[in-house]
Amino acid sequence: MLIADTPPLLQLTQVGRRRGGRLAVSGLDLAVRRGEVVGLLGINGAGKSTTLSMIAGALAPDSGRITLDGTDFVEHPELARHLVGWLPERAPVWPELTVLEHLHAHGRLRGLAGAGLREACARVLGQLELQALDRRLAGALSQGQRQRLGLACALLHGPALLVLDEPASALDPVQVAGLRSLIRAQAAAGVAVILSTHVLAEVTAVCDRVAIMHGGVLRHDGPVGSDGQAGLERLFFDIAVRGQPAASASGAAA
Amino acid sequence: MNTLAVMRLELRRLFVRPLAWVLAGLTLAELGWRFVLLLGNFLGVQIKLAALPGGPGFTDMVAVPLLSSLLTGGLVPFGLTELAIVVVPLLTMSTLAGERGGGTLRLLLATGTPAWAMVLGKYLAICIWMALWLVLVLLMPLSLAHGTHLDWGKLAAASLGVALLLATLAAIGVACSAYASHPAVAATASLLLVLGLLMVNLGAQTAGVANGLIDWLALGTHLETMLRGGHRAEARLMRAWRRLDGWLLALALVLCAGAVGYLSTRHNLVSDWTTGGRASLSVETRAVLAKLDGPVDIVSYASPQGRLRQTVAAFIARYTAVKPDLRLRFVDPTLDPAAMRELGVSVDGALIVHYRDREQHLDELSERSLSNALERLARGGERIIGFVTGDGERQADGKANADLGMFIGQLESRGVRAVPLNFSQVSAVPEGTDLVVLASPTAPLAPGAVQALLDYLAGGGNLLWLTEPGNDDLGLAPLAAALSVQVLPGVLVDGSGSALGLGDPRMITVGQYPAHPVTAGLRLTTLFPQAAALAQVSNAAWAVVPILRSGPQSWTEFQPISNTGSSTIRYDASLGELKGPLDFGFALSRLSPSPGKSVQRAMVIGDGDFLSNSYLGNGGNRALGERMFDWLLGDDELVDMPVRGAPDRVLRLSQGELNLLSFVFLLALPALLLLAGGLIAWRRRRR
Repeated sequence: MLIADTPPLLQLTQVGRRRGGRLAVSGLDLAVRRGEVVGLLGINGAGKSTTLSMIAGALAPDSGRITLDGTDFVEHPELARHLVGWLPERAPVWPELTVLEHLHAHGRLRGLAGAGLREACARVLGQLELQALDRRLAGALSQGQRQRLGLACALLHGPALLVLDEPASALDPVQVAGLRSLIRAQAAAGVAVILSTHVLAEVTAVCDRVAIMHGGVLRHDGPVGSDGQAGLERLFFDIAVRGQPAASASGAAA
Repeated sequence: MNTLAVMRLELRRLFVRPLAWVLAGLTLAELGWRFVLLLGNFLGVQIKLAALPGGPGFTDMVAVPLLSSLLTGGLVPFGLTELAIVVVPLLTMSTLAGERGGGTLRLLLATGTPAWAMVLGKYLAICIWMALWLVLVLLMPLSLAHGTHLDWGKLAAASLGVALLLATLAAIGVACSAYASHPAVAATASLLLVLGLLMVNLGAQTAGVANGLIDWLALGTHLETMLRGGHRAEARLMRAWRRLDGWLLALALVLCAGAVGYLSTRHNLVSDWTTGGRASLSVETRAVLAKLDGPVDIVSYASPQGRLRQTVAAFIARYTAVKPDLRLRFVDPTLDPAAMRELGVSVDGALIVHYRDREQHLDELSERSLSNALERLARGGERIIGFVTGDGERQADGKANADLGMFIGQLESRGVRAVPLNFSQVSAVPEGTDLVVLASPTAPLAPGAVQALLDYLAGGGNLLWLTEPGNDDLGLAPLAAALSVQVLPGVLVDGSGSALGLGDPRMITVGQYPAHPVTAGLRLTTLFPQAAALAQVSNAAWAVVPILRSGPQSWTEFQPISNTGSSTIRYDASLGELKGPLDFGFALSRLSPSPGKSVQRAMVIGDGDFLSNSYLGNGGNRALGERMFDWLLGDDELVDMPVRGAPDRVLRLSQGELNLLSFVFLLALPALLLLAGGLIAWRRRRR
């Protein structure tokens, strides 16, 4: 069965949210299906992080509707516990806790316990190559290691929706490659992934679809075009500079 | 479930950070120091306490003051409660404000944890830390449980009270952290809020008002305002609620504390856990209060400085709880000293109790004294005091310097009526006379008058005899013999009065009194100008107790002393002068010869000036006079108060144990905590 044939795991309908007295997100419609990797692009202040926070359940929308697996996410924010994994921007940590303590804390908050928790911790430590750092204080980690720790926490409970906010921002090229493999593997396993990034190459490398926001509004939502990164760059700069896609660029991207 | 996960997370963060260990170590060192000082103070006075059947014990003097100095005062200003006012904001400041600043609050919210569960989990973690802290502090008094009979009930009640207070402080701290943008702001806000509430309480107590209403109203108003915010469509209301629920829970925690405080002011659900019910009014006092069918007004002449007003208010509150129309009012005695002298108020904290048209003065704050005063007021009726006249005595209604008009005038407001008793007009003391006063006669009494007095004594009558130096030729030898007392020649002189600025050595001051109903609890210095020393004659008829005694540097001076110029005096044993300490006041009692009375009482004082208009206002003269008359009239023990002393007045503790305790609680335990904190931090950073 094609991804397009499955019902959306995540559906945003006319979602809006004000932050700091201004409209950060307005009238956002977006659907993400299982196994799909959606790249979310936009310049700083475009509303990406606000959108991801709402999708992750950390922020409630002012208006509109978000459904997760067919259930109203605003009415049932507890769905985030099992269904959503989130790596926020800059991967915040508790500096006084070790890597393993972080995983244990996140696991318990996600409902894991006992042997299940230990197995999940071992699995993500292996996946993110954090075994050697498991007793290191989070406050002593490099930014890249913190990103991997954040990703491990997001993957710990096997979420159906993975929300990643600039996950590769501090990773070295080898780790970036590893991250891309990981994302594709998650998608292959049926996990829906939303990836926010400023690196267009990353979108073309791992995403099935691209959504571009500007001024809090979704300006483009479509599959990654056949002309790859060059087409995407034209589309992105059209939107970033002019506020809307040029007809040709849009067509090229689509 | 998530509440527990958040609680575990918060506890883990607390115990891996040095802050919690350092706070625990430093505060326990301070409390250990306080404990050792309090213990030393207790051990210093425990011999005296053991002799006081109703005295305080180890729990009262060490365990409870260790927990708080707010109520009890003490040697060192900070008990656990006072430390908590500073410690709790430091502990709670990061609970939510720190998470918000570090970005981890979003992570927690994204785990599907409701905001209320997050706040509750963090609050519980702080409460657990504080419970452990309290347990460590309680180890100090509990370590001595084997050496005494602790008042377990009182200790449990005090611990519970402190635990609830800590929980309230934690609620305020977490609430401030929920609203603040930065941990430092949260800590400051929490500290100011707690201090503000403390000031409100202190102010209310100082004014004599028990007030939990202010806190309750303020919190309730805030909550109501937030709930009123939802007048839009339901969906928007639900969204608003979800954003607020964590903050509302934080507010609710504070609200609960305020509500408990408010309810405690509205309902008298009192349970006394102390051994012997020492914290509540006795059955006898309740019976006295039941006799008073009208309002009682108590005016406390306590200065606003210090804790005196709080102490008075807390003491009277026990009476108000039983009799709501018993009202307390404070008057600052320093504002109008002349009026205070007029009222006879000579001690800070003196009480005047008004009931109907009568009043009672109290210089001592105890259930025994106040309940007896209330009983005297409730009893009503007049007490008749016959003042012997016609022989140059001091006049009961006279306004001359040597007369007793001012003192007797105050006594009359207490239900006493002074009547003249002239034995040239009556041959015997009239029936119904409660007390006869022979106040410093200057002329010899007629034999008939002396005989009338002797008959009165033989009939069981109570007598006060104020005598003076040089009054040994007034024909009163038979009276002295009947009382088993001898008035010694000469005038008492005491050089120690010069230390108080008294230039005349005949001015005798007394600052220490024996344990007698007349002088029990009297701590005021009394002044006696020109007193005659007295001696007790061996006689089994009376039980004679010396209640006034001169200093060791005093003697009976036989040489005349000029009132205007200077005189040279010295002790001369060859003249027969007697060296002090010498008695000049006796309280006598015996089984009454009269079948209608149980005890007969008499008193002989070698000076009458101390109650005169000139000297009444000096020190405790008026208070001593009132006590003397109360005792002679049998008004001192109208209410037979049960003795309800602490069970732990005696503590068996060897010097070795004391040293060990001091080492453990002052050094070892705090050092262990600091070391543990340091070690944990060091080990974790090395990984």
